Amino acid sequence: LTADHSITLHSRPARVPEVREHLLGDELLLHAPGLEAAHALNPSARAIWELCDGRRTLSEICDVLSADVGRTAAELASDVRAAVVELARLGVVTIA
Amino acid sequence: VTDRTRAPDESAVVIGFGEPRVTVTSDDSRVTDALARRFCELIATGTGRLVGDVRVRRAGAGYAVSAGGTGTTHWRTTAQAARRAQYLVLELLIRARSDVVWLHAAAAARSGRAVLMPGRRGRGKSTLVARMWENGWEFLSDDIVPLDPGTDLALPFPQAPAVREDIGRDVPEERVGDLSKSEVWFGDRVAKRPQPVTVIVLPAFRRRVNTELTPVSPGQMVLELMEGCWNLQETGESTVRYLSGLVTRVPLARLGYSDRDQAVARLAEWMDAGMPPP
Repeated sequence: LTADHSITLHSRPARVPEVREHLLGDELLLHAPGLEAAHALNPSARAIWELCDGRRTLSEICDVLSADVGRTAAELASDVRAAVVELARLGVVTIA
Repeated sequence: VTDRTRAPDESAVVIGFGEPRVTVTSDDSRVTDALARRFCELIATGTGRLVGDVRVRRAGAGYAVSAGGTGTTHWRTTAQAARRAQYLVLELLIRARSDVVWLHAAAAARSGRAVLMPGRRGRGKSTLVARMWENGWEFLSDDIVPLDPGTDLALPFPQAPAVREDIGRDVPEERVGDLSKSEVWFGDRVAKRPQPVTVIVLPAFRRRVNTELTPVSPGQMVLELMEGCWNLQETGESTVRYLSGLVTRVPLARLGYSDRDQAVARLAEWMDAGMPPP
């Protein structure tokens, strides 16, 4: 499931195992062998990506991040969801 | 430069990059002469390993161009046939040297330090590198830079730069290819040895902008390099790993410019200052 409307706060995003990671200072390059495109994540997107372990829900990811960035989970929810939608659209996370 | 010994009606030119050699033969010496001009510093002498033979033949009102196992393509003009032959030569050399990373980029060196300038066509790579050469820099390449991933050395690949003519206004990227180009003859100040890449700069030519160096993130830069990597498909993950490392080892910047002299001076000043973050 990758459609925007299907991703809710109860969704559990998981990194696609085949995607290779390359550290670029604070950023992260994602590259999947066989995929045409590569993607560079800024530090915020990288933090979200690293929490997409298939066990945490989107809501729980927001809880973890809120402690780091000093905003409430409710305030983060929209941005985090948008980032996960984008990661799913790029094919580097799956949604359960 | 052109070897006319092959056959009475046929001329040939041999282009080499290290050991690999590619022969271009044609029954129209204007084609081989054009290739000899473009690859002036890569004309091979002595022995090497022949990796391909590009053939350009007159066919009807135009030309038929082929190379080994590739199909034959037909072209109307001498310039088109020569460009196709040039492309096939590059393909053959790139395939023969999969030990290096081939980037769509220009490069020039100053005081033993090379500036790598990747970017899509129309960004002003050739224009900038030509002016750098006029200002005393050593010329490495205007279009394709082979990088040794073991050493970060840029290997000289000096095709004669073809500089797009200034038509007095900005041109959308999809129309850049329509602009005519004129070749620049570089004479003898071409880098003879590999030079270490010490900075990567994205040129961004625009009319009526101030000369300005601005930051580029490693993520942005590595995507630019990957997009312009000729042998990424063949070399795969090892090249991605190499390029990801490279962009974290050297300073990165975007160079917006409309005045070429100011751009070269700004770049030199920045390098002399130790390349602080722009």
